[in-house]
Amino acid sequence: MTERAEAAGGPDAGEALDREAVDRAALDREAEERDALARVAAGDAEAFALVVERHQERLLRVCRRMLGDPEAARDAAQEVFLKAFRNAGRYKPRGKVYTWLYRIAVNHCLNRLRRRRVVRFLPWSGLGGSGDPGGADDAPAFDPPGDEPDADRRLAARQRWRRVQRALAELPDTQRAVVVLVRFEGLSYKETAEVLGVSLGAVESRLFRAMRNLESALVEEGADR
Amino acid sequence: MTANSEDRERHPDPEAKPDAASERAVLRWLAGEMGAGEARAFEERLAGDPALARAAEARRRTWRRLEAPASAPGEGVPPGFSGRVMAQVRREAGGAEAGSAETGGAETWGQHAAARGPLSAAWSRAAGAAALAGGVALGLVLGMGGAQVTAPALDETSVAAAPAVAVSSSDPALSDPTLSYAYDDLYTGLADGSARAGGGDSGSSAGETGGTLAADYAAVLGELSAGEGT
Repeated sequence: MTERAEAAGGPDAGEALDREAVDRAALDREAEERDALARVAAGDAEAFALVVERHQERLLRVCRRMLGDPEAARDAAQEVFLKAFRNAGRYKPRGKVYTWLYRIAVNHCLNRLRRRRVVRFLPWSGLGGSGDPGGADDAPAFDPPGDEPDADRRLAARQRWRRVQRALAELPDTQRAVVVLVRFEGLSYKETAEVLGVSLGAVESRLFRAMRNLESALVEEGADR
Repeated sequence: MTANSEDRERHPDPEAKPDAASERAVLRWLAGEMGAGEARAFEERLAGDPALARAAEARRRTWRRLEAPASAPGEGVPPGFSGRVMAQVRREAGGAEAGSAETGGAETWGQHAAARGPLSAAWSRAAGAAALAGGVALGLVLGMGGAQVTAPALDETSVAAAPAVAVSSSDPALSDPTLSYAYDDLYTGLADGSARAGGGDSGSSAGETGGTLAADYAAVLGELSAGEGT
C-alpha cells in the first residue's frame, strides 16, 4: 500500500503514509506489551513496568468511572495490576493487552460494587463540596475560580460534570460498565462485548437503556441545558 | 414492507416518537459503529425525519455531556502510582528489594488494603478527617489567641486549603503508607490552596468548617464501628 501510495503521489499519499505509520506504531506497541507479559510469565517481574506505565491512566480512569471515588479507584487499579501480574501467563496473545486489562478492571470493579451493593460515598461534602457522590469534591483543589474571564464557564462545566457523575453513579452497574467502555474509553461494541463477556446485542441494549436513564436523570437535574 | 410503513418512510409524522430500532441506530451513529456508507445513509434519513432528528439531537447532547472537562478533579495518575504498583509487584515476585526508593520500603497501599479489607480506605479517610478536624480546632484556638487564622471560606475549593493547619511532620499518620495518597492530595491541595487562603474571610468560616469536620469525623467513626461489627 505504501509503495502504491508513493507511486501514485496523489493528494492522499501523505495521509495514507501517516495512517500506516500510526498503525505500525500501534502494532509495535502491542508487540512490546505482549512480549513484556511473556517475560513476566517467565519470571521477569521488572518487565511488568512497561505494562503499568502504559496502562495506568486508562485503568485508573475506568476504575474511577466505575466506582465513582478517586481513592477507591486508586486502590482498585493497583489491585487490578497485581491481578494482571499474577495472571500474566494466562494472557492469550491473540487479544489486545488493553482489552485484557479492561476485562480484569471491569470485573474487579463489578465485584467490588456487588460486595458492597452500594457505592460508598463518604460525606466529604462537609469539607466544602456540594455533596458530590461522584467524589469530585474530595480531590485536591483544581482550577480555583479566579478573575479570568472564563472562570464562570469552567465552574459551570464542573457543576455539569458533577451532575453527570451523579447520574452515572445511579445507573445499574452493568449499564455503567457499557457506558464507561463505549463512551469514555472509546471501545467498539465488539471490544466491549469481549471485555464484558456478553453478546453484541447485550452491549447495544445496555447502552440504549443507560442512555435513556442518563437522559432522564440529567433532565431532572436540570443539567440538560 | 407494507404500504403503511412505506408511507411512514416517505412522510414521517413529525410528532411521532422514533421506535427503539431507530433510537439504537442513533446510538450506533454516535458511537461510530456505522461504516461511512451506513452513516451517510443514516444522516440522510435524519434530514428527512424531524422526529428522529429531534431524538438524535437530544441523545447527542447527552452523549456530549459524558465528557470530563479538562479541569475535572481526581483525573490523571497520582504521583508515584506506578512506583507503588511495581514495589508491590517486586514484593509478590519475591524480590529482595521489595521497597523501591519511591516507597522507601513501605507497605504499599494496595497490599495494606488487601490485608485489611475494604475498610482500609475508610480508615484512611477517618484518620485524614481526624487530622483535619484537629488542625482546624488548633487553628481556631490560635485565632482566639490573636494569631491570624487563614482558614478559607467554605466553598468548593476549601477542601484543599483546610489541611494547611492540619498536617504536621510529627503526625504519626504520616508514617502510615496507607495514608500516603490522602496526604499526596492534601499536600497538592495545600500548595494550591495556600495562594487563596490569605485572601479569604476566616473567622466564621473556620468555625463552620470545624463544625462540619467534626460531624464528618463522627460519621466516619460511626461507619467504621458499623463496618467492624459486621
